[in-house]
Amino acid sequence: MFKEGIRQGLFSFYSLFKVMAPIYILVSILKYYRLLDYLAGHFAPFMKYVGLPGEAAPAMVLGWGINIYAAIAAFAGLNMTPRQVTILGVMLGTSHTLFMETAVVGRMKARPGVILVLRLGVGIILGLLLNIILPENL
Amino acid sequence: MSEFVVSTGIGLFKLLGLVFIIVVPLLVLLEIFRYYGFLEKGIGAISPLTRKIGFENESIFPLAAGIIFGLSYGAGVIIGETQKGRIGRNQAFLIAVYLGLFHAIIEDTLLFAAQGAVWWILLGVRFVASTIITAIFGLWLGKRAL
Repeated sequence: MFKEGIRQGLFSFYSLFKVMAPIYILVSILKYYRLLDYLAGHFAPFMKYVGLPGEAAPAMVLGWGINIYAAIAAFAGLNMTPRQVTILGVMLGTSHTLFMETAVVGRMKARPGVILVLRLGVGIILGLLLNIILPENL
Repeated sequence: MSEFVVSTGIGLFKLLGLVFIIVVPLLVLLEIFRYYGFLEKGIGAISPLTRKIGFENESIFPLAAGIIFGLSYGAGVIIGETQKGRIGRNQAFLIAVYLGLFHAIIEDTLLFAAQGAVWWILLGVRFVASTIITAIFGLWLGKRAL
């Protein structure tokens, strides 16, 4: 049972590695050639309502679409503040891996469309609220 | 350029190292939990509370499994139970509401905390929001059923 756990842990890590390494490298390259600044400029007007920099937009989209690990790989190199990581953590905690998990909810026969809208909505609302409530320096 | 490669390499190594020391021990621990059935033993303590927000006793095990082990694991339990007719559609929906917003909480919280987030805000906000929202749906479904 202990061995099984370790085997599973290592296997999971390997599959996470395959997702995270390319994303981390890609975001680093985007940052190096200032393409991330360009992208961030377009997203900043929306992201500011949840207290996040435009640079966090790729992390948000990857978290929603793929998973938490993809999101973390996308923002790990950005020097975000604890306040920003906390808000992003709550938003992505409630809504992530949306395609796959909505399919899982569908197999539960539990109104997947409602759950999808609920998760995205709650994530965004919590982000807006936290940006109002949380002190500047966490 | 070479400086970029080195700093990216170091950053990536640190990130993956961090994920490694979180994910591998956690999965081993969860496997031990599952093997010894700790979940079944802990459930009795929370059942009075879960009933208040609309859950029947049959729903508590899949709910607890999902909160700790993740949505897919919780759903796996639920799909089996619904097919056997032990969990109804409204209960399955209510479980999906709660688990949609609040699952795999140890893993998510540790990963974001390792990147600088405040762990008790992550856990607290998600727990309170999920519980209130589920209670609203629970009351609404309960009223409709009467």
